[in-house]
Amino acid sequence: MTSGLRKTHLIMWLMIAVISPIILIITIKNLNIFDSESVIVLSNTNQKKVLVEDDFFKISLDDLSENHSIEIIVKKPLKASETSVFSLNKKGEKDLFLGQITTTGVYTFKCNQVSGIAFFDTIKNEFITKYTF
Amino acid sequence: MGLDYQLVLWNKHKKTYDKVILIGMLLYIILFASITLVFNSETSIETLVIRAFGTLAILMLHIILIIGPMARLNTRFLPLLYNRRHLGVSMFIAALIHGGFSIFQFHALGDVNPIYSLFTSNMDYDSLTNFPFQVLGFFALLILFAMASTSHDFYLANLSAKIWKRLHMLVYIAYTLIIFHVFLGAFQQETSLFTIVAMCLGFLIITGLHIITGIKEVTIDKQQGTYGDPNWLKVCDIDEIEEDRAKIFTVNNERVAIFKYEDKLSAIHNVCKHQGGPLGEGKIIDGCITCPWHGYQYLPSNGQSPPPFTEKVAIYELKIIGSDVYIKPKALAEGTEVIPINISK
Amino acid sequence: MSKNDDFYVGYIDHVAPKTKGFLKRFVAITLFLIVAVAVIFSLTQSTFKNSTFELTSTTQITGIYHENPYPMLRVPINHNSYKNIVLLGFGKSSVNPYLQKVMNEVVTLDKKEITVEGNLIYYNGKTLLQITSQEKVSLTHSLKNISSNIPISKLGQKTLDGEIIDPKCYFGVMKPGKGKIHRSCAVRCISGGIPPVFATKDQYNNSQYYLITDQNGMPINKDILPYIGKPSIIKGYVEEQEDWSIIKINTNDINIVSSTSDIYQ
Repeated sequence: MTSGLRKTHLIMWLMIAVISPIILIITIKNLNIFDSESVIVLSNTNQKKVLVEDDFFKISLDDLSENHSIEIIVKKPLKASETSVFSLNKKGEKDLFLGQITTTGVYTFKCNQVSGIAFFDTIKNEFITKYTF
Repeated sequence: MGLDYQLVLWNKHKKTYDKVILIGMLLYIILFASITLVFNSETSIETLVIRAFGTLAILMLHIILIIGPMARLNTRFLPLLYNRRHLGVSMFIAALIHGGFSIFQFHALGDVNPIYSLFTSNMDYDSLTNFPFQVLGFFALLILFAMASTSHDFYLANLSAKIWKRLHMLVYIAYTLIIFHVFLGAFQQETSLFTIVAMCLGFLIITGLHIITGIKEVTIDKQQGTYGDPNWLKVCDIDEIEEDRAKIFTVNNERVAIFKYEDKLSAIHNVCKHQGGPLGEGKIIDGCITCPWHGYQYLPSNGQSPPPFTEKVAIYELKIIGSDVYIKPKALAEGTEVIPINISK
Repeated sequence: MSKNDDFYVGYIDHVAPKTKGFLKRFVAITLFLIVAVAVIFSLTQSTFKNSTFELTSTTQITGIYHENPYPMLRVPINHNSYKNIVLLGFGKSSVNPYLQKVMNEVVTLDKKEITVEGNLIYYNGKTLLQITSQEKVSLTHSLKNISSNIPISKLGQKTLDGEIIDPKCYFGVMKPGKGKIHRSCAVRCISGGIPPVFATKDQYNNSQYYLITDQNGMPINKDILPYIGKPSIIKGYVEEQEDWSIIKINTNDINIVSSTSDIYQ
């Protein structure tokens, strides 16, 4: 290196060594390093009989009052273009249409005796999943 | 060297070097992709490509940047410096894949020109958290492109060594831009202690190495010779110089190398005409001063490269009084013939 | 004499054994570094959402076209149950250029039954359809009784905190489809006519999505560009329209929050 190049190197690196840490510290201070994704808080279903619980759903029956309803808690976003909920008859076939499910959350559908529940994608005309009780 | 401009003058070392580069890059991409597809399978392919090649380019840049100072601190790193430009061009290719995919993904197929979108889709230039980080990456990519496309010796000769070197020193600016591209971009959303620590560690190592090396070099430059006669500077004792090697002195702010060989002494300007390598850290091979960086050669008696090569370095006059070596600080024109001083009379 | 008289010359094949050994160690360390960095940077990525973009397959859907407030297809599912699918064009464009052909066939396309073939985009209960050619849209000329009016419930003024996103990317085409990394793309999409959506969470962390319109229920695109992709608080009148909610705002009522963006589901 010539002396000129050495001098340029020195100036450049001094600038980098001084300015960069200042900006980096300001930037890092504002970052949310320990923020983790929160889990969905589930509603209190103590009085209901839990029929199914897995990673995606918690399905409970509420026929203690005159409600005759089924509660479906969707824990995670479903991977389907449309989600219709059907009850299953004793043969395990699609029976009554109960309603649609969209985002995660708690859904309550009126229904009487159920032998099972099916989640069906009407747009694609295919079953998503079925549960028999 | 460089008289006949081939794309690459292949030899065994360059082939091995390039094989290692290729294996390293493939290893990284395959590992990154496999781990992502196994543990985070809902990724999209475009995001995977953008992140894999972006992080690969950053890793490669860190390795490239430590080679320079490490070679100054330990000569065993010189083989890594020899073919560093291939590493640089490969890193640019990785960065180009990252940048190209990103420009397409985020700015193309819209209602304006993608480059216009790159500069105007986010106008928060006055904020740090909201700063348009993609602009920083774009300028870094331009610098890397300028460097990669001029990395051949053809450009070195035609742009002049001074301009070429200044252009290639922009790598430091590119490095700084990339640090902020990551901290003001990806890290604002993909925030992880591990990656932040890794990048900060990389910054500390690179900056630290450069500063340590800089201090060492400044210390060397501070060593002064003594003037007895106003025209002659006393630099050292004959025995301080090893056979077939040289000792480097700072004379009038410039470094000079005094070589001892076949019972003679010659002094040349320390800077190799190729890429500025320290000739004084070289060796006499087959009667020629050989630069430790890429093996360029110069005849000690006149500072000229042996024919058919045409490079020339400036040469200095020496005299010996007793066992002391004196140098005339004013250099003679490049290529001037100077009879080497005989040591034993 | 000297500790290290090994001298490396690149174009000479022979390399001193000590230098060779050093180089081998350096390469080994570098390969280890490559593995370590690949592991760290790949494992620390946030979990990608299971949003879907059916790029390589098309689906044919029949429904009633309406623009309340943005071009949508109202698809009958079952017994008075409908699904409203937002219609989009190719790339970062709205669907309007792709409807020109059918629009020329009728006085108004509103409430007409059409059949479209396109690529489905869906996530978390919201569905959109990308149409890539005018030829893929046709009027069904159906004579059956067209469905009832869309029921609308007015929910009054609400203040929400979340982020303005573009639904095409967020619900399937890009991952991540939100936040700073994606901001430029979202700006391009909304500037290109894709409807802006406000993504927020309720107190149980369930996501809620609101189509954003101006105070008259008309589309907003260019005016909202500076606020996209940043954590913000908006205030407006909310209406529920079957499976989509709408918030009617004045862009002056958007407040950018200076804290870092929370991760929306």
